[in-house]
Amino acid sequence: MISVESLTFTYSGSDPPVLREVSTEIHEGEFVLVVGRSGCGKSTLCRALNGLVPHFYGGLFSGRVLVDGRDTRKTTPSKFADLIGMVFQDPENQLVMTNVENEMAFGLENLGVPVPEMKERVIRYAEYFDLRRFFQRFIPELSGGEKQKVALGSVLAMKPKYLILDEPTSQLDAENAALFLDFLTKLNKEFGVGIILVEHRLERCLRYADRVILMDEGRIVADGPKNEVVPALRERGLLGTLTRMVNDVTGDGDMVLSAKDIHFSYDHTPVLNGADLVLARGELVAITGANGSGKSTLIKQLNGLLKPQTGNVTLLGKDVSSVTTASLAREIGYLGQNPNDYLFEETLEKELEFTLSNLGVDEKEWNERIEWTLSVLDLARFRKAFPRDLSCGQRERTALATVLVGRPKILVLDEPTRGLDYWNKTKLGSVLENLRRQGMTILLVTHDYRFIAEHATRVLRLEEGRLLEASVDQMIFLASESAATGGV
Amino acid sequence: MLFPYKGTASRIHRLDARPKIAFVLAVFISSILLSDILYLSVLLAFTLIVTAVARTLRSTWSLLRYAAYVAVFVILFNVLLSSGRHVLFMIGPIAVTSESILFSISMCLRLLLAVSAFALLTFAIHPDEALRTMSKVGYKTMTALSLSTRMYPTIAADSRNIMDSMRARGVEFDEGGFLSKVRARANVVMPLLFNSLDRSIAIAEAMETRGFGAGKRTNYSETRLDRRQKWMAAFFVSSIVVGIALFVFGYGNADYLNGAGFAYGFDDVIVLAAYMVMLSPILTGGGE
Repeated sequence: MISVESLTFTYSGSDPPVLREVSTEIHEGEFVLVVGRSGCGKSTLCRALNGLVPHFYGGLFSGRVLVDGRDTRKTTPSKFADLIGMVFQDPENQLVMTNVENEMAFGLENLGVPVPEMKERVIRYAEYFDLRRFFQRFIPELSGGEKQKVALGSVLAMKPKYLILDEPTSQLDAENAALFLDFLTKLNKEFGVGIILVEHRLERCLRYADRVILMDEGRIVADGPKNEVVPALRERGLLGTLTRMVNDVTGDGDMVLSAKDIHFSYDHTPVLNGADLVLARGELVAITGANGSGKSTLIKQLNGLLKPQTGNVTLLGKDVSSVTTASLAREIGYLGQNPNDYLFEETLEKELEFTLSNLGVDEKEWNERIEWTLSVLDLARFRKAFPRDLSCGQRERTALATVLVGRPKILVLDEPTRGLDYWNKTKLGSVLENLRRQGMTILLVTHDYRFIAEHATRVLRLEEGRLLEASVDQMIFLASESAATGGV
Repeated sequence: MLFPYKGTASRIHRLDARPKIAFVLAVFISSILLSDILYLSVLLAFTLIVTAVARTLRSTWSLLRYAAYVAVFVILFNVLLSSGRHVLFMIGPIAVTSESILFSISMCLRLLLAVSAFALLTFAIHPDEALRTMSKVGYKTMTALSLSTRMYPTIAADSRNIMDSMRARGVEFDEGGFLSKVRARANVVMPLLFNSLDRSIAIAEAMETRGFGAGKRTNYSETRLDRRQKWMAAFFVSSIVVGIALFVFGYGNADYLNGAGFAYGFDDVIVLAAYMVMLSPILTGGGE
């Protein structure tokens, strides 16, 4: 049993406690979902369960956490590795070795497991996770879903009693996420491994949990069987009824972008195979498709980050084939998957000035543009803040601000809801809806059916290198179905 | 080049990492100790033969090409700035001497030899095996080195993504003169550094939760060296000792800047041959 007793914790250098008087018990074999808005302390609580807090991070710690009777203050996290396994959000940042077989063995080597037993366990767990066929593959060459499976398999081979997972599906598409979560359930039922899952995408994972812990501002505010906690989830805006925000779409705006018969290959592996796309003014078009189907590759063709091998792209009547991305930046804004790629200046204001200076905008216009951007994105109070100190949702909007300040006519976003909780997603959705109503054309790539159902005017699906029309109604159905089977 | 090591089916690849690392170390130390052109040339030729047997000549060549650019600078720098008494010809006011030419050639050979040794380490030894072997010396340091191999593609992808995001904010990377290109690329450094710091914290956290540093480790692929490979490793380790002894006794050293030339005795031939004999078992590799 893991027992948390009156735990209060403050990170060094920051003022308010992240955890306040938290007390709970988690038993072997339970499947517990820990939820709450960004910054509520759920990740910190998970890190306190195996001693990463306070040993790894430092800070003020009071109360205690006992894991099977062992006090985390007196034992380093590495010594808990045989009891508590942990899988993190980004598979890229938790795999250490170069190939799958060695990765599976890494934790066992650290625990000093005798070699014959280690070999037996590596093979057994690799077979269980269907990883043997990847044994000699170089880890960076695996897909996101495969990497996350390697991370899970490597941790499970250490035979932990409890498994903590911090947003493990945030980078997976719906199908891969469902497979991953099914797998967790199987581990829970078949091996009795206690699962402690932190997730934002409640529509994906609520159905799997026996018990839900809801946190707010460092405290546990609800804790109990799923059905009992659901009303509290609704009340705090973490679970909402699907509301379609778009209702004034005429679809007859002027054409602003057209891509015809786009073909593109990486090292002779075709990714795009005759994709066609037309965007009209005031549309919010969503592109879906499985992990690795080429969605990011497709949108990079539109502003010249990648050049189509055949086919052409016309942006506001101009052929983009012979111009640079930078020269198109005033017309088409692009926000990649990782907002951190956009943030490096000391203040948010300087970040926006960097874009304005590169775009050659007259300095007299800067202040007005910065104020407009910050007000549209509800970031005015962070004008002088260091952007990397902001929360996940705020950073996503900050990165968007660095692009939006150039006032592009078309905005292209790659997975903008990744890692955002429901509240932050709703906020981003209303920002985009507002911009669309002002005449901006928005194209986004996402796995998030719910976001599409609520905000997209049109949906396309990328399959076998071509774009196919999909219906918004189908997205509404998929989003509602996942919510319904979640028992909500 | 996503992952430089390719599991080529060569006899060198089949050889255990331990004798290979000892060999690479011997060659690398030689490149530091030796300065005589004949000694360096023979050792470089031998290392390239080993590379050919390992079927990694093409990859090694791609590294040597970069080293060749550096070599050009080394030659220019030395020819223009080093002194000497035997003037071969004049370039304006600058006297090009035979001393400076020989010294440059020696320096370039040392560079190429060191790069060839590094290439063998990179292309013919699996990085995880290198990690396991060298971890006996300093596990944490070696893990950091292995991680850099593992993370190289990630950091390269980060750098590409940051450049894409900069382009989307109006930064021109390929337009303008040399200075403006350098200035544009300098913008990538800070976000890349921030991202890498974030990653390093995340990886350290993940390693901690997987028991790294918890106590005495075991080794997944600990295999016993057979008698032949043990002898091989012993030969290569001894060749390091012999190499140091030769250096102390003045073999393989030539002070070209102070007028040393190509004066070799029979003892040089014997010493060089003996040294090569000690290294030659590498060619038999791990067998067919």
